[in-house]
Amino acid sequence: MSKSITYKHYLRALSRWPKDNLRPECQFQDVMQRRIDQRFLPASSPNTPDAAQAVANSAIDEKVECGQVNAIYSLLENRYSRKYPITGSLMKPVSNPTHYTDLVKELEEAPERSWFSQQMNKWKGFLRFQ
Amino acid sequence: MASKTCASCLRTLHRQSQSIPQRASSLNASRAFTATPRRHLDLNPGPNATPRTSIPPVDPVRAEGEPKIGTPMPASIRAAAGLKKVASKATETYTAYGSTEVLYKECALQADYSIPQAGKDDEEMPKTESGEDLGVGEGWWLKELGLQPTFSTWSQVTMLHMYLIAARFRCLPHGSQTWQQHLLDHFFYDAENRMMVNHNMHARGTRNKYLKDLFIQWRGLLAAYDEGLVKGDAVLAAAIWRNVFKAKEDVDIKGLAQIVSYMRRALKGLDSLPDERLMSAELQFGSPKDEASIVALKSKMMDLPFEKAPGKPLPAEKA
Repeated sequence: MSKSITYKHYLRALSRWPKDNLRPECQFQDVMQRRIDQRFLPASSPNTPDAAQAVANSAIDEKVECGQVNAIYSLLENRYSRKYPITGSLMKPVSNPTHYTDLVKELEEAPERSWFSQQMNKWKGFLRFQ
Repeated sequence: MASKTCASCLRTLHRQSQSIPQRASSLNASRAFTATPRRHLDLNPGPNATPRTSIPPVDPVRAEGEPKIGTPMPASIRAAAGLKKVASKATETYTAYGSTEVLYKECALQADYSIPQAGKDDEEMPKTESGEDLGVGEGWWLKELGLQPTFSTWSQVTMLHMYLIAARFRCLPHGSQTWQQHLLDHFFYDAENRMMVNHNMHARGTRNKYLKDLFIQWRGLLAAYDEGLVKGDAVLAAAIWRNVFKAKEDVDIKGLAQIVSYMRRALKGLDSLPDERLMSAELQFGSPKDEASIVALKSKMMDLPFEKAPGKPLPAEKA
């Protein structure tokens, strides 16, 4: 059961999920890994009253799980941002054209900052000189 | 946080925002096209005469919602329109207040819920496992997706839709800050109202505590969804999972993908929406249930053999 195809798909999909440096304790792939381990790995319960029942259960699960892992693949391949591409100026908003690039830069730098530079930034934001 | 607008200005802009749909019904003086002429009553109408009824005939121009040319507007509307022409920057905030109220209502109805036991003193409100008040509601988010009709669900879904509108507001050439602020004000006002009415939180301190939490959630999801917009579907999905699903283990990933698809589609639609239509609040959201067929499509990665190393990026992937 642990060698089921769907489980292998899950492992592959979750290994490609982007790592989130800002929220290290709350990662999607870690929580999903826990979930599939619970569902797929305890393959044998000590008492197996109904082999047919177990097979039937696993068949239903396979279909649902297949749908779930397909959804993970679709997110990884950016299906939706490619289907609905933004062609206008939404990503360069008129009121602040560098909004998104500034944000990405800030999100990259923030985890690496020392306590001191955090305090400096805090006060720089508080007292802004024109 | 809340901006103050004086009572007379509120009255003016309420009248202004109500004038457009009600203009048709308030006209009775000089309609150019009627089936029965006003002054000369025909006491012996011929066989083809139309019956005189109190229901006005349907005027195709009026039915489209366009104002008829040459009809007199009420004096207050004329005054407001004149003022707007003269001092457009100063009146923008009042127009924004009225329009954002309509836009906000569109956001708030997506996961709307009610608690029937709220008004009654002797009935106990049902609770979820984590102790939140549980209500009843309709719609895709509460039924098909299976989120529980609680305040936190409603607030997260509403904030998701408000985020889409806020992203569009950023593209306004002027006044984008004003529009975003008014939208937010409407949300917090309504949230506090619901806390009082639905959840019996009569203590201002308790409400303020939750409102502060709500504000932190809003700022967090602004940054998280923006990051998802830039970095791709997986990051956006993770943001939605953390916010809407509260990082639950048993999330329905298909539903999550439907929400991502819905957001992308909404953003594309908002991107092509002209500023005038946005500012007159002519906007209606669709539903993530329309995205089910796209999510169900089989991915090419399902057919890839496992011999390929899992960490190797596919050519189809775009960052």
